[in-house]
Amino acid sequence: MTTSAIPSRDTVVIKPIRGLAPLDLKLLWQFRDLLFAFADRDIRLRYRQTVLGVIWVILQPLLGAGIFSIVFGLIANMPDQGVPYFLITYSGFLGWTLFMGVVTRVSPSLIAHASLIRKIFFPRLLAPLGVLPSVLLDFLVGLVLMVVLMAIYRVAPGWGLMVAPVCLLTLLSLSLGIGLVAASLSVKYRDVQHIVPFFIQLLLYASPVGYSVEAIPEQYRDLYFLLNPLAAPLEAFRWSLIGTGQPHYGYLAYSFVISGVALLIGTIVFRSVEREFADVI
Amino acid sequence: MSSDDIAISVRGLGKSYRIAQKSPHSTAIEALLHRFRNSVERTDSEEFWALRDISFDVKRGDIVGLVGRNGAGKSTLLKILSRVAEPTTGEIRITGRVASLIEVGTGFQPELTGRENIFLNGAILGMRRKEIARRFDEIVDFSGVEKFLDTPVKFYSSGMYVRLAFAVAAHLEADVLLIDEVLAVGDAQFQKKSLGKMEAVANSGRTVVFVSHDVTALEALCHTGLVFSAGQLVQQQVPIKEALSIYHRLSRTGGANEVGGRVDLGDSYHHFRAFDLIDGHGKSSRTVPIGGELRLRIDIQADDLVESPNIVVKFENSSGQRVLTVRSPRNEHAIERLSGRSEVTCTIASLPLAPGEYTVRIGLARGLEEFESVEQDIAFTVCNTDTFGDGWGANMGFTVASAVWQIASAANDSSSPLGSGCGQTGSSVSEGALIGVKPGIHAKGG
Repeated sequence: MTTSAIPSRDTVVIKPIRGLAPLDLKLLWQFRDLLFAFADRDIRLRYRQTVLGVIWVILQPLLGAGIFSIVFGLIANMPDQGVPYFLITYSGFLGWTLFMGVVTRVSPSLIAHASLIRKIFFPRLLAPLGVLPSVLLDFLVGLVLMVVLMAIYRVAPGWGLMVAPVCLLTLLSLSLGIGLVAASLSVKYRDVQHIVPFFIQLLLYASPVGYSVEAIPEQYRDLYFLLNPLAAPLEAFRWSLIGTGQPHYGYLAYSFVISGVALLIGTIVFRSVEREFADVI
Repeated sequence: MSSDDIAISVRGLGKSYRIAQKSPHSTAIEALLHRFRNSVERTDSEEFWALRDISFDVKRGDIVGLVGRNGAGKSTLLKILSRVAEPTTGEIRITGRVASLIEVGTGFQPELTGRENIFLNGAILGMRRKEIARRFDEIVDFSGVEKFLDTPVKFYSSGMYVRLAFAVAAHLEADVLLIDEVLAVGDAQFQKKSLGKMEAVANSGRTVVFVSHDVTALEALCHTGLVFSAGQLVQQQVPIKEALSIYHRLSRTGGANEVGGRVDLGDSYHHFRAFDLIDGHGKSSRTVPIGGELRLRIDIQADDLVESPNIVVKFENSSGQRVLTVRSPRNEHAIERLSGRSEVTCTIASLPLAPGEYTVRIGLARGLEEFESVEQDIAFTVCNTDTFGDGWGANMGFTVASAVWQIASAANDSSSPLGSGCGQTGSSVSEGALIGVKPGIHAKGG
């Protein structure tokens, strides 16, 4: 080697950790480039291996929204609140895609990196976190299409748009929390991988994606919001874009807290089983 | 030695694994059901200590080889040092940046190009993007794959793949380098190159911990060695040669049941009862001079009749590679049958093995099919003596041969033999046909 050794005199202490392991932020920071390397790889692979590539990213929510428009708008004849029904379902799908993308891509991330985890040391948290950029990119592509659709249908957002980031943050941390728990469990129990897609499928119908909360009888709405923390951010996100329904600030705050707790639990579960990964995987 | 000079300090290190006894729950449902049923009793796993109470220090700039049989705990130790696995007990302090070459090419993505993989793999090994970019040309140069940089690595030959992977890892700027069996990859030329690279790394003042089954590589690269056996550190840091000979002594006693030199097999085998290496006087011996005579005595008890058997004698070098196989003949001199008690002696008049440590094992075959193989082996040493009279005791290579040299003078048209060292010409090996010499270099040891 031609270059001189780095004059690093940092001492690393390796010893068994009892109880809860604190998050080593310094280490995460040292490895920050790996996050982007993982993301870079995911994005390249996604657009290189699939024939449709970027078209697929657009087609997925479009088709989903189309089918839901037919099922909920035409067949079930749900209220459209003066907006083309397709916009209702598409805006629902936009938020949903973010949630679903994170959960379904984070939960298998440890298994997918099994050979790395067995052989090389890196902050394990980077495996799940590394999928986030590519999910966010997909979301951005969908968002651009949303803008185009809004221009076509001549629907302009109002000040409510300010609420959108809060909705997205809620969806993101809720999905990451769920994804981290699923990822941790799937190392030991492989059936988690089969449970997650099923659970996602159920949740799609239980959430205001193809319909607005307005379609739910008033007496059940409170229960609906309480049981499904996804409902408030999805509904508020749609409201912020196209102005249908109501933001339900109270329940949005409730979901925000729930999602924060979910992320905390996810991180704790991940950290507590992390040290066994190399032994089990 | 002051504490500043210590790169790695290990104290009371232990690693235990839980081995599930009855119910390995691989599904969440099963585990949940089990938890409900047996909420009280929870001991259905057994503890296995892969490492126990290990303490040692490694000085800065030292190149240490971890020596031991498979399962001795070397790789587990390396895993803990590289922080892949967590220790169960004890503490390790490592000063400086650690890089591990535990398995070359882990994290390579077949679909990505060579260029993309350099960046990905570098990041996985903990390099900053800037750092990789800075050393990019050097890495490409060392790997020798510049022509295929923009080809997905799935189209690479395995040699190219490995070269690229090693190149990335070898260019990591680290103070402590942990290496596990990386030399077992690539062609001979690249192995030489990588060995040279590692020597350069070590000579630049970095600390290297090296695990390998390849004794040649260990000897060439390491200054000192630590000897492990069954999860314990049986020999603290000593010069590598000493460590290797301790390792050999250990493997010699490990497993073989030696009674006064003779390996007594008891009733463990159908036909073999005992075997021994003996000298010219029939006494048990464990050394053979270079190019000297080796005698193997085998006691056989055949209660049934064994028709036209082939006795197989197998020699392995210290890397676990078969270097020589000698079989009883199948021609007119074949052993016709074995019955009752017999004592078979196999004499190799001039053992063609270079100085070093070897083991010999025996087996019984019919044709090529070996139907009885003795697990136990005898370890012996081929000593370095000037048998061939060429003044070159230390041999270069894996085998030795006596040679006849002739020099023809153009002037008087006559040739005269110059004679050969041990008075024997050719390579005839008596009472046994030499069927294979495999001088593999640095191939992966078992």
